[in-house]
Amino acid sequence: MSHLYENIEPNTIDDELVQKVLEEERTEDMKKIVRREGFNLKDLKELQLSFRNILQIANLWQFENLTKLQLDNNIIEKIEGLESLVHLVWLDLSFNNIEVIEGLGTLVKLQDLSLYSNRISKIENLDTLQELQIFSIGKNNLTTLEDVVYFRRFKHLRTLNLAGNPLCDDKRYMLYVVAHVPKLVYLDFKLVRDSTREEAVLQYQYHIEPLEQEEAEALAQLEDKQAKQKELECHKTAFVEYLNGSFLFDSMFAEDTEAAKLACLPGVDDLLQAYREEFVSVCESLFNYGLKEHENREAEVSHFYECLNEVLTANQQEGRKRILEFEKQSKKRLEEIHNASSYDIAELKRARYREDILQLSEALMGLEILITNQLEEILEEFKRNIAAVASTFTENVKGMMNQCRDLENHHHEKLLEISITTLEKSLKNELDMDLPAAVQTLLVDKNTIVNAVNASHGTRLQSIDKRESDLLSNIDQWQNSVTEKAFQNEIDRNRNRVKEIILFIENLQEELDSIKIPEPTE
Amino acid sequence: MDALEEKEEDEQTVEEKLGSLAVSDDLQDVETKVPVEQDCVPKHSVDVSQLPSSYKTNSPKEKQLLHIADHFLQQYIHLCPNRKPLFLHPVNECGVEKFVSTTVRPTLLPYTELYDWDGCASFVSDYLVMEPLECPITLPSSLYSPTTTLKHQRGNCFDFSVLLCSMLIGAGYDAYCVQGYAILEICTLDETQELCPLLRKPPEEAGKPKHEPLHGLRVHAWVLVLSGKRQVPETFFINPFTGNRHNTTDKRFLGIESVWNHRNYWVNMQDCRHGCKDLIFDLRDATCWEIMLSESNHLQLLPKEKEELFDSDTVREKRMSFDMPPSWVVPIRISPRQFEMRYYQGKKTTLYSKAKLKKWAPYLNGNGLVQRLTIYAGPDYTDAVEVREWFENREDILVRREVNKQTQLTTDYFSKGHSLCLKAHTYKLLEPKTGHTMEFYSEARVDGLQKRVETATEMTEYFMGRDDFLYLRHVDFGKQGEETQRTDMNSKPIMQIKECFHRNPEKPADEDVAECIFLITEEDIHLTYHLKDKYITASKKLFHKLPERASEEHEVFMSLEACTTYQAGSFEKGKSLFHLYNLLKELTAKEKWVKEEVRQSEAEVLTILKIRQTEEANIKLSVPIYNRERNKERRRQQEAMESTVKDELLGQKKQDLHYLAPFLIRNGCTDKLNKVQALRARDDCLTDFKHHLTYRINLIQAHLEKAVEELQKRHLWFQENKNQLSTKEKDDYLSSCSESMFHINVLEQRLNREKQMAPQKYLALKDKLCMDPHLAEHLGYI
Repeated sequence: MSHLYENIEPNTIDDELVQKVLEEERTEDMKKIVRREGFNLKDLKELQLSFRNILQIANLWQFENLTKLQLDNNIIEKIEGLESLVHLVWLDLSFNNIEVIEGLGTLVKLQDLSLYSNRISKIENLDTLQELQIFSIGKNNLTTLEDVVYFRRFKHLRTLNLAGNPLCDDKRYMLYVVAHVPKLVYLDFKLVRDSTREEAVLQYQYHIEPLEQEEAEALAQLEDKQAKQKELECHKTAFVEYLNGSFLFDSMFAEDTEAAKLACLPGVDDLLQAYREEFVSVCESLFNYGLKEHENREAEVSHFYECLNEVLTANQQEGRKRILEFEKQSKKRLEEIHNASSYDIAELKRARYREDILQLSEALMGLEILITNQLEEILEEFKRNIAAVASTFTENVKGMMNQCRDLENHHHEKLLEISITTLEKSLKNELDMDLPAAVQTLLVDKNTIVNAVNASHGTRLQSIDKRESDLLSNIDQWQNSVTEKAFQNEIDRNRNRVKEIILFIENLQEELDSIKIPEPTE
Repeated sequence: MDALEEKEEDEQTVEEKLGSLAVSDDLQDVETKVPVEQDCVPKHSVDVSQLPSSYKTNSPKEKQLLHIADHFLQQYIHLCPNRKPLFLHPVNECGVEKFVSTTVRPTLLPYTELYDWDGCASFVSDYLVMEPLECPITLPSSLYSPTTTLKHQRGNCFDFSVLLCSMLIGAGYDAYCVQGYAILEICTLDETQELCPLLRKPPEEAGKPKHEPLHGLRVHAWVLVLSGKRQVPETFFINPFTGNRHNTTDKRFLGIESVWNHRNYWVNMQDCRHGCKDLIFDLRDATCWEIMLSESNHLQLLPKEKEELFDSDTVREKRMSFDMPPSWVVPIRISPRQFEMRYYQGKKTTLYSKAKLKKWAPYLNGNGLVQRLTIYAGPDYTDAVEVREWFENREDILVRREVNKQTQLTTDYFSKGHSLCLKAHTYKLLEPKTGHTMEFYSEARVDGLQKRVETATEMTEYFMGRDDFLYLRHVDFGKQGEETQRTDMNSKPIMQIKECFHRNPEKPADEDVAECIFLITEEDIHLTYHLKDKYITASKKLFHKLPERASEEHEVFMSLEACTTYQAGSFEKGKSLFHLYNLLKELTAKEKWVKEEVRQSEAEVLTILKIRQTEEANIKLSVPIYNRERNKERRRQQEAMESTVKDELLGQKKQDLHYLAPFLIRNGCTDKLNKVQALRARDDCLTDFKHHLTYRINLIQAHLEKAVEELQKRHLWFQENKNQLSTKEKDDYLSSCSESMFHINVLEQRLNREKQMAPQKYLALKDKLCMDPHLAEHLGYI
């Protein structure tokens, strides 16, 4: 298409262009400031690059905080290079030569998007723009009226402009759009009347209903999934995920090939059934206990932070009080120094003020030391409490896991018994049923069958051990992280406070030093 | 401890007195000892001529009732010889004995205010003027009907109670009149020991009851409202003098002899030694309450020992079958005018402890004053401390005014809807620059202004619910004239403006301004930001503006020296110069805007003062559209409508009224007649009437003659053709003959009556003409 641009020089966005644009907007004062200080592109919120013959969008990645970008009336052919401008709320790409909607997926904050007068023939790649309120895609090449159903997904879309597309020639156009995008307030810059809406609903009732039903179902499914996910997350934070039910039990047998064979032995079925029931019930109680303990832990932690905040707030207020007292008269005193009748008086007053600043500094630091000592005690206590909670939990979990192991051992003994009797019967040919070939191979001698049973037992025990150690290491990790975080917070707080005090005092001193006092008399 | 002992002692004396009450042997002694100061006021005389006959006579049923009552009284005296007499059938205003229950006339009045007990009680206490009993320790000799009480607007405690009870029963309450005993202050409507209800904030102090010789003997009547009906949760008393509610355990009520309503009469059989606090108010309990007209189902419940009260079966039969006759009193009526006037002659004064309360009917005072409470420093009502006034129906919707006599400050309160949403205004004078505090209905104002305090040198404004989180603006003014800056000469120069903001949760704390001070004279702007979480120092920025002229000449007026920044807990000296430049630009624009705001506020104060001055200079009262009495325009419309309706419906009557008109017109008369005209009109009228009567008689005569003639003709015809006629024709003839005969008979009768009546009618008309308003003047003596 280069023949289109015969008379004009196509541009690419580069620093030079941007600088030129910015320069044009600035007043004299600002130019001077920029000359002195330089200019941070991150500070820019709005940028207008209209009528610049831009062919290619580039070099915009540095304007991270841009909220409004105008690129209208250029010769852009492809939407690109906008991925990093995630704060954009307003984007104008009208009067360009764009053919495909693309490259806008990351601009999730976009509320107002204009693609007016381009060459677009399909509405696509806009799924993530859920905040969209105003969308203009008039004077393009949209032909299929049915495509407007796409706009249903924008829950906040109120203004839509489609005028000037081939699809508008369809005599159904108006009612079809209104019916399928029910929340529209303005279509083609005209208010959608209630009467039109009613008519549209009446006419396309049978088109809309299945759509609505589908959407409702999808939504319900999504919600269901989210709820489940949330529940699982909750279980995970309690470290007892998948313990409500037979998941652990099933996983124990899933990894065990021998067990499947042994299950065919007569009587094992009933045995397994009983085993499963008991095992699951122990898991359930472990699960419930875990949830309960989780609540306990949360309560313990929130209680700690409550106490901490209380102490900190009191301290903060005390410090604030001292500072306000000081500030109340600081202005007057500075003026007095400034207006002192002679150098000596000024000097005297200045010295006194300086002393007071030091006193304030000491008072504030004293307060900080006081609170640090106080918090140290609270933190130690917290650490002890957390350790106690964790160790109780560990003990009880171990106890319950041992119950599981006992059940497993019991099951193992029973299974062994059955295996041996079956083997004996088999050797005597007294077995009154046919067994699968795989099982038959086990019923050769005592060693084989005992090995098989033992191996199966071993894998299952391993499964139990693994779940136990996972759980215990999780609780351990929690204990460490919670304690560490509390200590780290305190260290950070202390540092920040000390820094704040030092800076504040420095500031006061600077303020004092900057006061002009009468010249010393000769 | 002392107080407690005193109290006990008091109670003892109460008991003693009550003991003496129960044992009425002492009564005569006490009665002789009644101090002379207890003035015995005779009841006011009543004009009985206009009262209906039920007031003046007793129906047979009423007579029977009185007989039963006498019998009941005999039994009672026989059984309880020591008790005081019962109040059963005092005489009414016409001197006729009436049973007390029939004096109660349940009536529901057509005012919403009178639907609830408190409305009724306060109306009765306001409307009637209290008269003391003729003798404070004996029952009154008479009991007037509630209609008479209303008419004269005065009465004793019994009259008050009967009226209130009638209204309450009418409104559906289970109310009773009570005959009993109470303390001096209650009986004499002495509220000077009480706190004014309008001032009742602290718990009431237990005033020390003075020793009083007649304690426990003072007769009082009040109203008892039982729980149950009208969703009354708890039984209570109403003192009709004050309209106040009292618990049944109130120590000021010392005993009950009997209670009655419009259906029955109950005598209290319970011990009142300890006042009313232990009384059981279950009137069906025959051990506690002796009923006079027992209802059949209750009779069986009577315990054995009580039954000996009624020694003969006949009495019991009578009591069982007898129903209370309906009240002899006509329904109670209160006209809208009376209801509006509310107080005797439209005003009422009550003395409370260190306070005086005056009330007026609405529209009585030209300035709309309806209530004034004066609070005094001491108990002698001389040294006023505070005056509170309440207004109604004022066009400037002033509802209350408080004047503090010590500070000389006046506070006016307005309802919603005053100009510029004014709510309250505190001032010394309605002049500008004298110090004003104005409160506003902030929710109705666009700027959310809640309060503005203005003095000569300062102005503080308080705001609520603003989008920019501003809640306070304080302005310091300089002295007029000493100003160097460009402001017009009339207004005071602004020295400093301080604005305070609430935290805006959408901004980070150290970008959210908490306080902004424009030091106009110094050309400084101070910004203080909100505290960051856990921080003790707030970030600050201090700008020093250079004169605007500099910027016009394109000089750099922004430099690091012009701005001092303190960023709490950060080594960075804040944002870039670029930012500061923008901020300063913003603030400069804002300063200009805020100055304008302040000037507008000043102008607003002046406007309000002007409006208030004109309003106060010319107070107007408004009339609600529903008030027919007051709303002249409405009333005119209404009357016009009514008269047209009358015209249409009562056309006939109108004609009747104008029966003289043709004669008057014939004589060429207008409004006033002279004697000759009157006489001529009368004569004309009489002659005309005579003609009319003769015409009627002649007409009937003619009809009669014609009918007789016809009958004779037919008779002849029948005689001639008798033999040729069929049986049917014969029958027809006979039936037509009898019909004609009947007709003739009727005509004869009418003729005779007309002839008889004619002279009488003539005389009646003559009399009527003499009475006629048009002619009476001239014919009256004839």
